[in-house]
Amino acid sequence: MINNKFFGRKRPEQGRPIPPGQYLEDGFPVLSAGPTQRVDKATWNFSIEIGDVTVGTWTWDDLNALPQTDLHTDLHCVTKWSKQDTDWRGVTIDALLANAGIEAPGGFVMASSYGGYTTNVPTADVIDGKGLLVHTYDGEPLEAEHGGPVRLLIPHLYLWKSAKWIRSLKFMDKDEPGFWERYGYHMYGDPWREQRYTND
Amino acid sequence: MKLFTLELPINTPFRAGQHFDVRLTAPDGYQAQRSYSVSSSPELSANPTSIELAIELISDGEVSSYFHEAVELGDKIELRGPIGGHFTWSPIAPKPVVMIAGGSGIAPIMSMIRHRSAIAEKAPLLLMFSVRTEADIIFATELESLAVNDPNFHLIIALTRSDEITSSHRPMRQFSRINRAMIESALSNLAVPPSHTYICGGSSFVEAIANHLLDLGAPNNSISTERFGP
Repeated sequence: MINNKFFGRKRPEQGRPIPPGQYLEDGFPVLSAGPTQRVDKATWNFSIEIGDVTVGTWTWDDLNALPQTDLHTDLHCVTKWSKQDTDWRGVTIDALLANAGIEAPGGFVMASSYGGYTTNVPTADVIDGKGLLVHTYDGEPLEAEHGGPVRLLIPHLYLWKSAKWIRSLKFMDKDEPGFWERYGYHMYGDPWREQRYTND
Repeated sequence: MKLFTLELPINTPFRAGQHFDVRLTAPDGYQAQRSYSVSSSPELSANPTSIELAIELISDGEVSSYFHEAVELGDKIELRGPIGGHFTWSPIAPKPVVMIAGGSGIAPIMSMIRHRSAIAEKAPLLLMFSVRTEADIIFATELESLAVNDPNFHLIIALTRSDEITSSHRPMRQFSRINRAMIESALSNLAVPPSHTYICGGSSFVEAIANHLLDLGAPNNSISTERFGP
C-alpha cells in the first residue's frame, strides 16, 4: 500500500544497514512491562538450572571473578528502534557453563528475571559467545532502568530476549513461551527476518 | 495530539489497552512503522470495527507528522493488530483500580475507561492525568462529565506548566507534577487500596511514577507499565 503523501524523514544515511522496519535511535529508550526492579548487588545471585536441578549459582563477586568479555554491538528493539555501536562488558554464558563444569544441553533456555519476567531462546543462541550476562554499559555500571546490576544480552535477537535483572537460565528439552511470547510475540525474534509477532 | 478514526475492513476484536502497528510506504518504497495505542473502547463500533488512535506530533517524527500534516479523510493506512496484552484491563470488581497517564499516555487508558463505562462496571477507578497546560487535556469534556456523573470515577488532572489563576474555577485540577505526596493523598481517599495500577506515558514519567508507588509500598506485581520511548 503506497501512501502518496508520505516521504519519510529518517532514511538511514550511508552506513551499516539496519533490519527491516527499524529506525535509528541515538538515545537509549527504556521499555519494561513493569516497574524498574530494585536489585542490590550484595544480594544478587544468578543460577543455571537443567530441568529442575540447579547446576551452578553465582554472586556478584563470583561473576566479576570470571573472565570478562567486551562486546561492541548493535541493538534492535521490537518497538522499531535500533541503536548502533553500543559497548558492553560481562561474562559469556560459555564462561559460566565452563565454571560450573558442564556442557550446554541442547534444546532451549528460559531466562527468568527478578520481578517475574521470562523469555525463551534456543540454547544455540546463548552459547558460542552469542549470549552474555552484562554489568557494564559504555564503561559505566549498568543502570537499573536498563536492567542493572546484571542483564542478559543476546544482541542478534530483538531486545526483549535480553532479559533485564537476570536471575536464572533454565535449560529445557522443549521450547516454551516466555512473558511476551505468550502475548503474541515471536518465539525466536530475529530482527533481520522481522520476526516480531507469532506468525512472522 | 490529534484523534484519528480508522475503519477496519473486517471485524477485529481487541482488548482495552492494546495497540496497532501503522506502516507507511513512500512512493519509492521506503517504509516506516510505529505503534499507536487504541483510545476507543472495544465496544465503539463492531462489525466492522473502527478504532480511534490518539497520535501526538513528535518533533522530527516521520509517522506522526504524516498524520498531523498530510493525511486526508478517506486515505488508506496499512495497519496490523491488535498487539500486546500485558497492558490491558478487565474489571476485577469490586477493588479500585488506579490509572496514571502522562500526556499521550492517556490513549490506552482512555480505552480502558470507556470500556468500563460501556459495560457499566462499578468498581472504583482513580485517574491521575498529567499534562502541561489546560489546552493539552485531551478528552477533557468526556473525562470531566464522567467524573461528575459517575460517583465511582475519580479524576485528578495535574497541570505541570499552568497556575491556578489561568485555570481558576476548574475543578479536579492540581498544579504540580504528579509527586509522591499527590499520589499518597489520592490513594488515601480510596476506601480500599487499589488492586492494580496502570501507568502509561513517556519513559521518565513512567519511571518516576512507578518508583513513587514502590516507595509507597505498592507490590511490584500490582503495577503495569507501558512506556513510550524515547
